[in-house]
Order: sequence, then C-alpha cells, then structure tokens
Amino acid sequence: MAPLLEVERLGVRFHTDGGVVRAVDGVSFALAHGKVLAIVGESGSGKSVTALSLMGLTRSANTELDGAVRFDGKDLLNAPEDELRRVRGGGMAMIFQNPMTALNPVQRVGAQIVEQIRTHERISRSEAWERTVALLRRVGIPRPEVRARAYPHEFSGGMRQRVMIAAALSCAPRLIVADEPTTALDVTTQSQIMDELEQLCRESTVALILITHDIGLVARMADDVMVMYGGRVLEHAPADALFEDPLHPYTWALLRSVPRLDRERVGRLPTIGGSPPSLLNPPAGCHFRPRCPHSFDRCVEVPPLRESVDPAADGEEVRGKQDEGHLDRCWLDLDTKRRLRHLDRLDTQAVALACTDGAA
Amino acid sequence: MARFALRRLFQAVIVLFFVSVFTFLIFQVIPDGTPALRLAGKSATPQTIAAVVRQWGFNKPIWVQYADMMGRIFTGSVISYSEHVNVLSQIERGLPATLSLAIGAGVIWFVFAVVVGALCAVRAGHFIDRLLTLLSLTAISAPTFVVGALGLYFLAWRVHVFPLSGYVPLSQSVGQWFMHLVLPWISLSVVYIGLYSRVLRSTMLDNMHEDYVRTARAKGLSERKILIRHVLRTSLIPIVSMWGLDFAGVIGGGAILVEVVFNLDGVGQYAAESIQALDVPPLMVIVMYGAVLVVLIAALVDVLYVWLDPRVRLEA
Amino acid sequence: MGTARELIRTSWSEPTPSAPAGSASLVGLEEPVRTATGVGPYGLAWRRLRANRVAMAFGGLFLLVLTLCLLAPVYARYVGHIGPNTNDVTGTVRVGGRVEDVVSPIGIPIGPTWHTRFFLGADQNGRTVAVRLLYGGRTSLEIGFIAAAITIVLGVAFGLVAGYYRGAVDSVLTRFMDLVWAYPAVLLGVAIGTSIAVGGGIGIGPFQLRGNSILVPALVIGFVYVPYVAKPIRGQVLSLREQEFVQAARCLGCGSVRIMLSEILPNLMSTILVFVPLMVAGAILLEASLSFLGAGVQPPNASWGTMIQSGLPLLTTSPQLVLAPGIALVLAVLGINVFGEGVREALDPRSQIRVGR
Repeated sequence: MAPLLEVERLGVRFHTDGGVVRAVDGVSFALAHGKVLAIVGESGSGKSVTALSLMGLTRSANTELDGAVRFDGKDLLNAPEDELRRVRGGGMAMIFQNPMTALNPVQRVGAQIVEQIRTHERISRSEAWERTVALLRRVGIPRPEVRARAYPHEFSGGMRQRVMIAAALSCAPRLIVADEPTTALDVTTQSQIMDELEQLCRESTVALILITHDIGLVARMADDVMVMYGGRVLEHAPADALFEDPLHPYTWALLRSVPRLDRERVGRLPTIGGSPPSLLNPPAGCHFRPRCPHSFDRCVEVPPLRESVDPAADGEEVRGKQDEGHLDRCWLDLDTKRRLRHLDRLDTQAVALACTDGAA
Repeated sequence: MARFALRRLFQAVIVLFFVSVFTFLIFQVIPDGTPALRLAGKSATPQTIAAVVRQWGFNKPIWVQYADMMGRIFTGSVISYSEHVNVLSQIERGLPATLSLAIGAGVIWFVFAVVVGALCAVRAGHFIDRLLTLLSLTAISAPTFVVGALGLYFLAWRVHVFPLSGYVPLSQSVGQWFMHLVLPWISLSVVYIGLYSRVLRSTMLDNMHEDYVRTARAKGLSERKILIRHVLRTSLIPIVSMWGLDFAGVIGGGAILVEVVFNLDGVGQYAAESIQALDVPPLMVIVMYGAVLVVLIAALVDVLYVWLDPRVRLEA
Repeated sequence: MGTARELIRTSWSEPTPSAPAGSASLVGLEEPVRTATGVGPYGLAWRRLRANRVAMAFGGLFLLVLTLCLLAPVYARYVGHIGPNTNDVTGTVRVGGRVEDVVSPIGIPIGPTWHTRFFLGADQNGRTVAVRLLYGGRTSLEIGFIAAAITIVLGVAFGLVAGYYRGAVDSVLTRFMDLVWAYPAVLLGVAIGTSIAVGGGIGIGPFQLRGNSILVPALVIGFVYVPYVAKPIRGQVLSLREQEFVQAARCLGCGSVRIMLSEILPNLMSTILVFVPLMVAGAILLEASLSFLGAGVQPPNASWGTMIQSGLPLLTTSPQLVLAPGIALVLAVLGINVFGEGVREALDPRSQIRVGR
C-alpha cells in the first residue's frame, strides 16, 4: 500500500529584510495510514514550518518552497489554492500550539466547527450542528449541547484544545498534524489531552504527525521519530531504535535533558549548552557543530542523512535488525558513536555528582 | 447583561445632570453683562432694564435660574430672546431635515468606509492602497463646508446634476427629497469615510496576523470567507462603536455646517441663526440636546459593545 | 531555568563560541537586530521620518504655506497694493486694457485678474482676496498653533496629575474630561464662542480679552480638545507610574513633582510628539468651522473660515471667495496631516490615536 503522505526534499526559504532564511532544508519522510510520526527539536528547528508547509500554510509572496509533498498520491506543494483548500481541514487537519489564540474570540466554538464541516461537506446547518455536538462529546467536553454555544474565552485552555481536536476530527481526516498541542497547557491537562489524542489514534486509522519537544510524549506515542535541528533532519528512526540506540550527538543531548523518575535525582537537569543556530547565517557544515562536544575537522562539510556504517566491518554492513531504516546525519562512524555515547553519559553523571557535592 | 445595561444607564443619567449644569453655566456665567441689556434694546431706560431683569428672572440666585430653565426645558416652554418664539417647537420643526441628513450620511459613510478600508487592507502596500490612503488623508483634511461648497458649485451650479439647495420633506416627494440630500450626505460623509477607513485598515492588518486566521485557513476556508467572516467581523467591532458616537455627534451638532451650506431647514440651521443673532436659549437647548444624545448613545454603544465582543462580557 | 542553563554551560567540556546567549526562540525568523550605536530613539525616528519622502514633501508644503502666510505683512503690499482690510468698493482696475469696476453696480465683485492687483479677485467690499487670503491664513495658522499649544499643555498636565495621583484628584479630573468630551467638538466650541461674543470678551481678574481678539477662539479651541489628549496621556501615566524606574526614584526620595517631570514626562514625549501635528490640524479645522458659523474669529479680522462664511452667499457668481480660502485650508491641513502620519509611523508604527468628532 502506498504511503499516505510522502515528503521529498522539502525546502522552505523565507525572504526577509535581513536576507534569506532557510527554515527547512531537504526534509524527506513517508508516513503510512494510521501511523504516528513525531518530529522533535528545539524552538526554531524548523518543525513547525515543516508542518505548516505540508498544507501550504507558509505560502506567501516572500516564501520559496521546493521539493514535493504527496498526500494520497497528489502533489500538494504545487497544487492550486482551491485544491489545497479541499485538503485543508478535510483530508488533513491541524491542531495548533496555542488554543488561547487559535480560536476566533468572537465566534461561538460550535459555529467554528460547523463552519469547517460546511466548508467541506454539503450538509444542512442543523446536521452539522448535531455532528459538532457529537464531536465535542467524543473529545470529553461535558454538556456539549450547551457548551457549543459558548465563546472560546469561556473555556479553560485544556477544554479549548479539546475543541480544536474536535474541529480537526470533524471531517474524518486521514492525517492530523498536531503542532505542539500541549505546550501551552499545564501538566495535568497535558496528559489528559494526550490521552485523548492517543485514544483517537488507536480507535481510528487516522495518521498523526506530532510536533513536540517533549521526549516523554514521543516515547509514549510515536511509531517513527524525526529529530530536527536548524531546518535539517539529524536523525530519523523507528521510535524503539531511537530510544535504544540513538546515533546522533544532538539526540543524546536531547535525551539527556529529559527528567527521569526512575533514577535518583542528582543535581541539576542537564541542558544543551549554547543556543540553536541562526538560520539567517547558519554555521557551515553540520549545524550542530558549534555546540557539539565531539565535532572534528570533517564536520565543516554537511554530512549526509544515511544509515550508519561501521568501518571495522570493512565495507560489509554489520547491523542488527533494529537498525533498519535508522538514518542519521553525522560523520562519526557507528562504532565511535556508540563508544562516545557511553563515555558521554558517564561524563555527564560525573558532572552532576560534582554539582551536588559542591552544594553540600 | 441587563444589570450592566442598567448600571451604565444610571451612570449616563448622572453625566446628563452635569451636562445640563455645565451647559447652563457656559451660557449664564461667561457672558459678563446680563442678557437683559441686549433684550431691553439699545435705547432702554434703567426702568425697562429692571423690568426685563425681573421678567426673565435674572435677579434670582443662579441655582434658581438653573432650576427654572430645566423646568422650562422639561415642560417645553423655553422662549427665545429674539422674536420670543418657542424654542422646542422650532427644534421639532427642524428634526426631519436633520435626521434625514444624519441617517443617510451615517449609512453612506459606514458602507464606504468599510469598502475602502477593507480594500486598502487587502491590497496593503500596493498602488491602490497608497492612492486611497492619500485620498483618505485629504478627506480628513477637508472641512465639511468646504466639500459642500465645492460640490454645490461644481455639481449643482456649473453642471446641473443636483438641485442648488433647500430641503424637501420626504412626505412631499421621495425623489426630490433624495436629490436634495445627495450632496449634503456626501459632504458630511467624506471626512468620516477617510477617518474610518484608516482605522479599519490598520485593525484589519493587525487581525490578519492573528492565530485564529491561520486556523481558519487550516480549516480550508477560502480567502474571501476568511476575510469576511474572521478578519472583517472582528475588525468591525471598534468601527461600530466609533460610528455610534460620531452619529450622535452629527445629529447633535456636526450637521450644523452642512445644513448652513445647503440651506437645509434643520436643527443645525436654527442653531446657526441663533449664533448670528446671539440668541442664547435656543443655543443652550440645542447644545444640551446634542450632549444628551452623545451621552445616551455612548451608553448604548457600551452595551452594544459587550454584546458584540464576548470577550468583554466577563469583565462586565 | 536560566541559572540551570548557566550552570550546565560552565560544566560543558567545550565552550560554545558562536551562539549568543539568551535568544532561544524562533531563531532565524526574528527580525534582524541592527544596532545603531550612538543614535537614540528620537534620532532613529527622525531617520525613519526623513526616509519617508511623501511625509517630508507634504511637511514642506505645510511649511511653505506657513511661511507665505506668516511673512504676509512683509511682502503683501508689493503683490496686493492694498491692505487686507482696505475697502475699495468704488474703485476700478485695468484688466487687459479695459477698465473694470472692482465691484459691479449689482454688487458682484471682480473675479481673478491674475495680475498684481486683485490677483484672485475682490470681495463684496472691494477688498483684495489674495492679500486677505494671506492675512486670513496668518490668523488661522496662529490660532492653530496657539490652540494646539494650549491643548497639549493642559492635556498633558491634566493627564499627568490625574494618572499620577489617582484617587480623588483623578476622579474629579476624569469626570470633568468626560463631561467636556460628551459635547460634539463643534457644538461646544460654538457654545463657548457665542457666549463670549455675547459678553463681549473674557475678564478673569487682571486677564482681559476683547471679544474680537484672536486669542478668544484659540482659547476655546484649545479647551475643547483637552480631553482628547488628557485621556490617552492619563492611561499611559497610570502604567508608567508602576514601572520600576519610577519606584526606584521614589525609593531615592524624589518628590512627586520631580518624578512627574523628570521620570514620567520624558517617557510621554513620543505620544506628545504624535499629538502635536494632529492637534494643529484639528485646531485649524475647528477654527475654520467656528469662524464659518460666526462663533470664532470676529470681524474685522479675516481667517479662512470667516472668508468662506462671507463668500458663501456669492458662491455662484464669485466662486473665488470660497474656493481660494477653501483650497488653501485643505492644502495646509493636508500637509500637516500627511506629515503627522509620517511622524506617527516613525515614532510608533502601531499606535492609533484619533482626534475629532
């Protein structure tokens, strides 16, 4: 079966007053029906722009898009606007980061969902209203027939995000793109919303692209994970493989910064030093080079995104089954990476221990 | 909602009281000598002046005079200094012309301002936007009576498109009523079209970058629907409240200038005549009634605002 | 969060050279930060304003009108040959070899001759329109500036005091501003103007003004517009007074007056600068309206408004009487409005201030 969504060498360039910004640079991936792909990375890594570009929401006079986005075999990147509109909110729906501002403050929430349904389907207002109420009930909003008549400000953040989810589901999409759906919410609400999303994915065959910087969420939901940094994909692997055998130094840094409850907490949570690169004037070669503790002379060239090779095997690839489809973008060879990773982790723990000792 | 409306109305009543006092003071305190000198005529003997003072009650304490005046306003028995006619019946006579002028102009300026403002916002930065912006600024810079005089001279005198001036009651002839009012409507509207379209343009440009507009686009709505249902609708809220206040201002006094230019026999014309004659009572009543209208409509607009913009409901 | 990051950064095995600290969000999409060393906010605004050619051109137009009018007494007698208030009903003028009456027997004044005498024609009293236009403009513009100065000084003072002291002072001042604001501007101007005309002037103690002084309409107009400045200023002061630098000044023992003048007032400057051209334009327009209705400038002084008023009855036969001052008025106000728009954009592209009604 052909994948639901295929993205090939997607590139997004913004022409700004300060120059050209390469927000997304050669991103490729495929997503099958009913699967969950997580895109992780820091702010400014290009994950949101990638998501918006899938639907053509970054189109404007000073945006340049190249590559291909095929949804159900149809190219969306170069599709005319009215064809795109049929996909938006129909086959492909989006949930935005900030439910406080993503809903129109002066329209009743029910009306906003009805509006979407009636854009895509020729049904009566009352039918659309009934479906809206059913959807709101499905995403766990109490007394939906009353609440549908309320305005966004009368909802809490979590409830508003439920409304957004209901809206996304309203036209039976095959793909939902959720752009940091829980970032703006408090912790307890976050898990409720994710429960909701997880359940929906399990119940239906809807595919999900989950954009987040919450690694815990990725571990819980994703089938595949794509790590983005500075507009490029640094590592792309099945979720299990990524967590068991992360291959890119940036991924290690990300994983290290996850708070863990299964270990005794020692010192401060590790973070990644420095800040993401300016895409207006990015560093040459690997974008992570300036922050990478393992960078060497070759890193000034841009490494390819490929399956890692162990040179010790003398050309013959020695990989376990789980390594299949595990791509990363680093010049280090497989063996070195695994050894470095081991050392690195020990090293950080030592640092953390030193911190606590000093404090005591 | 109802409680808010009641409270707002109560506030308005208090402001109205102060408006009446302030207006009374403007006309009674600022003029140094008593109006009795003027009323008694040029060659008045001290006896006549004294008689006039007693007759009009200028010798009473100021608060008694105020109470008397308010009493006369409420019973509709204010008498003008010159010609001694009943002021309220004169105002009543002028109302149809003033209302025709104000309502028609109000509709015109609202519609055109929305069209011009939306066009500028959609084509922001393009030639048409710059042209309309410059035209709006010109409109803001032109007093209504200059626009009126230009229209009168070129469109009524040089080219006989419209009748020269005067007011024809609606009951007499709808066509004539309309033709006589076209130029006054336009003259009165021009400045507001300029003003509102500028405000609407900038509000719309702000709103276009709101998240909910992106959401609407992600829902698959067409650009036209996004513009009308989401951007325009939200941007109209401040315009509507501005409209209410300016409309009240026009009925309550802004129409004077246009009425004078076009010789429309309305309340404004009456006010202008009273200014020429330095006749205080009609002016006082007209000024009071103008301020009263503004205060009442401002209260109404506040209530309407709460109804239009659900965000402010919580605070109310 | 910040300290945690600092700590880890110091413990990292390798320093992080290129990345600047702090700017974590949306890197690359941010507006480029151009630091202009040695140029303050007003210097930058002035640069932006200078780069706005349209605004500068219209500012120049206003300046031209202003200079022409203000210098009228210096040169008007060379172009007009008679003063602004000199009647010449029975006079004659030579136009293209023919001798014509300045005012025809049926009372129609001569139209534009495009010669040095009666360049723009005459009015019903045989006075030359071109010279009256210049003198009238002088009056109108002078009133505009004086009234704007009154409005801004009073508006800023009221706003400052109300916003700073709050409480009872604020209540009284705000209520009073609301009261003034309740009147349509033209109507209030007419009311006060007429009242003063009835009384034949203002006399407050030693301060005496005759009814036909141009300071009377300037005072009236200046007063009418005060709430339009006072309200937004008060709002700004309310938020400024809670800022840390004000708290700091208070802790250092600065008095209220000192804080208002040297801490808060400088922060209101950009708003005030935006208001100046707006108020001048508004005052010129209101003066014209009041004079047009007879409640502004009193005869024999000419202003553009009074010229239009007296010319209106002759509109059909002598349109120059209305068109000349009308066009001059629109040009002057347009010039200052477009320039003011440029000032507003240069100082704060997002603010929305309006004056009028």
